[in-house]
Amino acid sequence: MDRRAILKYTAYVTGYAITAPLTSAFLSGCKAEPTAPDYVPVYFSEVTYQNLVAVVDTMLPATSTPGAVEIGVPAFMDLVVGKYTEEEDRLKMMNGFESWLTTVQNNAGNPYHALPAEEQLKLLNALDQEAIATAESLEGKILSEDEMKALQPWWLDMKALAINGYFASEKIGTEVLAYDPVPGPYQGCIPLSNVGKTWSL
Amino acid sequence: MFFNSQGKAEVTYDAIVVGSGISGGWAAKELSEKGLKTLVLERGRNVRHGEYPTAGNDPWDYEGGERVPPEEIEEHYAKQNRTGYTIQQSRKHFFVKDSEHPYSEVKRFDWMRGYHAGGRSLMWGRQSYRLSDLDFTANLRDGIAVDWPIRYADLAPWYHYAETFAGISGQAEGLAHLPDGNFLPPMELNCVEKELKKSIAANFDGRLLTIGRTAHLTEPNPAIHGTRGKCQSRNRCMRGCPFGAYFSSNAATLPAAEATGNMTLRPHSVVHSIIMDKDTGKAAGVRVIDGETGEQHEFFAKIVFLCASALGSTFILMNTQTEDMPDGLGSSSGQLGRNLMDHHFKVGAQGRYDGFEDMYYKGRRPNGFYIPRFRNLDDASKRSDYIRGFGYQGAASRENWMRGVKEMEMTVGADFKDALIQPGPWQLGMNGFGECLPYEDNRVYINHDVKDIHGLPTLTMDAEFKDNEMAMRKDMAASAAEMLEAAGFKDIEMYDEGSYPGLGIHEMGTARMGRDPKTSVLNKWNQVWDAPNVFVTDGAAMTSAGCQNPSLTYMALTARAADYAVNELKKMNL
Ligand SMILES: Cc1cc2nc3c(=O)[nH]c(=O)nc-3n(C[C@H](O)[C@H](O)[C@H](O)COP(=O)(O)OP(=O)(O)OC[C@H]3O[C@@H](n4cnc5c(N)ncnc54)[C@H](O)[C@@H]3O)c2cc1C
Ligand code: SF4
Repeated sequence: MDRRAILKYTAYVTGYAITAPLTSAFLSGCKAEPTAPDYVPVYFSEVTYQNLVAVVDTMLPATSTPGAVEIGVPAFMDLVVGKYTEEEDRLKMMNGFESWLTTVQNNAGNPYHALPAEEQLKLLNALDQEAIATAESLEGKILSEDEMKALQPWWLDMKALAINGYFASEKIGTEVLAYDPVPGPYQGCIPLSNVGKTWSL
Repeated sequence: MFFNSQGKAEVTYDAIVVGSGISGGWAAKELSEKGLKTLVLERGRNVRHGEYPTAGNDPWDYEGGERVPPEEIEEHYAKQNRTGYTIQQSRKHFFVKDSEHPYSEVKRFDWMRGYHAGGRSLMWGRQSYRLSDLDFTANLRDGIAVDWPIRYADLAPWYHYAETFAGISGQAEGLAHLPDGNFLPPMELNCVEKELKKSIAANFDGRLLTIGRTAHLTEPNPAIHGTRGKCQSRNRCMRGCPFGAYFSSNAATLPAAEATGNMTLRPHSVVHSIIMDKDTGKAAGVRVIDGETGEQHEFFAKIVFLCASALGSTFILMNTQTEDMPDGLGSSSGQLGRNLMDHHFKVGAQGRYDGFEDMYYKGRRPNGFYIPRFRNLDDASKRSDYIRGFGYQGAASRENWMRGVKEMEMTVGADFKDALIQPGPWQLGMNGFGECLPYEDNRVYINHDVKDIHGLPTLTMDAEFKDNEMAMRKDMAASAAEMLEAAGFKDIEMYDEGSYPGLGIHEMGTARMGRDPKTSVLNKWNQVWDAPNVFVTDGAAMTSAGCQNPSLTYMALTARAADYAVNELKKMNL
């Protein structure tokens, strides 16, 4: 097992997606829509959801392009975690997230959503550092799919879901990324400047 | 008891074709074009060309993206979901519900299929390669199983014939062991694939990289392909193509059969067994259970083409139990249900390519590259650790936004988000498809204890990959990595994700062709030795597996057998 193995994604090989077990459940589109301001989470508790909104906003803020919160990514995550995720995976992500929120609150004296922006960013960066450490500690080990799944940090699952929800949403997919539903004959080698962005599909 | 409300004349045809997938579609077309009144019995619902409800959907058209709720998967698709890519919102309606169509496993076997008009021709991967004499003489050379009763020369004209009508895009390479076809213009390789191609040519004798040969119209010819259109690189083929740009029964063979006025397609017609005529030893017709009403019907014909897919046809033979043949029609050799093969895969290597940062591509090419077999072709390429060989299918692409998860050093926030709008590094993966040997003890048998939704008995699979396949897999991973290494790829990773029989979705061999009725089920014309007016032309007929995707061979075998059958009928030999 090397570090990349735990982070493997979908490699498309002529119709066959070789999917890594880990984040594969999250690799598809979403119907993220602008969330009504009074959106009531179905699966997340209101308090956890409030923090989820804040985490998503730190992760993918509004810049010259829309932010993830304004296009409804947190509501999408609520739906996917609640309705489209296996219980085992859901519990892992939820428990991981909630116990992290508790630690944050204990250490900072305030919930995540009430912390200053720089503080929030630092906390998420620390999660990335932890994930790197986990991945590196597995270097050279032979692990089964189940073991790998168990060791995959909850943070990466959550991050994957947010990124997927954002970039595979209608708004970003059609207005920000390069969208071309009927491309015509494949052109294998063209200047990136002709396209400018990642293809959305 | 089976009853018919109609008179016998109304239910009598010249030919009956069971199944409307790749093989059945071809049988329907050939037999009806040659003037036979042909009844096509399909167990599933009808799907007319163009009736592809999800073809235009974007990922965001579903509330949870392509995801299917886990409860639904567990209840209905526990086995069909084993591919990891078939049970998605836009595709699942073309796959069977395991809850309705169960099978049993002594060892894990992944039986992936769809019951509807067109069968798996709607969802197939469309990779289309010829076998060669390296394959047709393999069993003879190795002294295993039985010799194929045909050689490449017997099938070559039929490959040409099938390719012309189906439309196969590809690049001629002049290889004896992977014969060129009658190709439409090839699809393009991308920049990184071209680099790998150059490097392989420079560094590895006897290896080459070519564009995949695939059943897509890159240049339709209306005189041959009718209204089918040019491929638009949408890569949503598995949902059905509204343009008819890839070959399916629905877009190509069934409309051609329908146009003759000689074909009747009867959906919801689950063939139970073959009606045998005791006096002649031939088939008189078939018994059918209506999938909607549960009523039982009998249909009669001079010839029967079993094209229900390898295991589907094997099941019908096994369920045709007579006094003389308690184990089913075609069981006299003891080989019916044995020699179950598939290709083993999910092993290879992948890596990153630094360079071409300013280059990209346009279109979602429904195809990849192919590296034809280069092992055990001759003395120079002979291996001491295994026999037969493998080919690779692969593709290079630029990573998208999901790299934001694995590249953990890219810390989250505004820059992160903006960076992910740009394509990431190039990466390339190649996946081996290896030959599996015909082992007598890899088998399938009828199970009367477990019944399907129509009350029919089901199948039990008992098959595994063995030492030869396992030894080959080591080489499949190592040889892939070695080619990436030589081409300057970085972070090369070999993988072997494990492969179970069935998951290659190339199951075959359970009613093999041979030269001797004592050791095979079918003769060189795909006729059942025990009942010469019954033809089996799908994967069941395969005597060995080759390492090439097999469906083009089923097309050629079917067209050839249909031609023979009609000639024999004319000569009053059947
Ligand atoms: C995702 C995927 C990718 C694939 N990729 C490739 C590839 O790249 N290249 C390649 O060569 N092959 C590929 N295949 C395999 C290919 O689809 C099969 O080899 C091919 O479809 C077999 O043709 P067939 O006619 O024998 O069976 P099918 O196409 O499966 O058709 C059988 C038909 O018979 C019907 N039937 C079954 N039992 C009965 C009965 N008792 N009564 C009436 N009707 C019955 C079924 O409903 C079905 O319609 C792929 C398959 C899948 C699913
Ligand atoms: S890629 Fe080509 S064949 Fe496939 S769905 Fe698109 S147009 Fe049709």
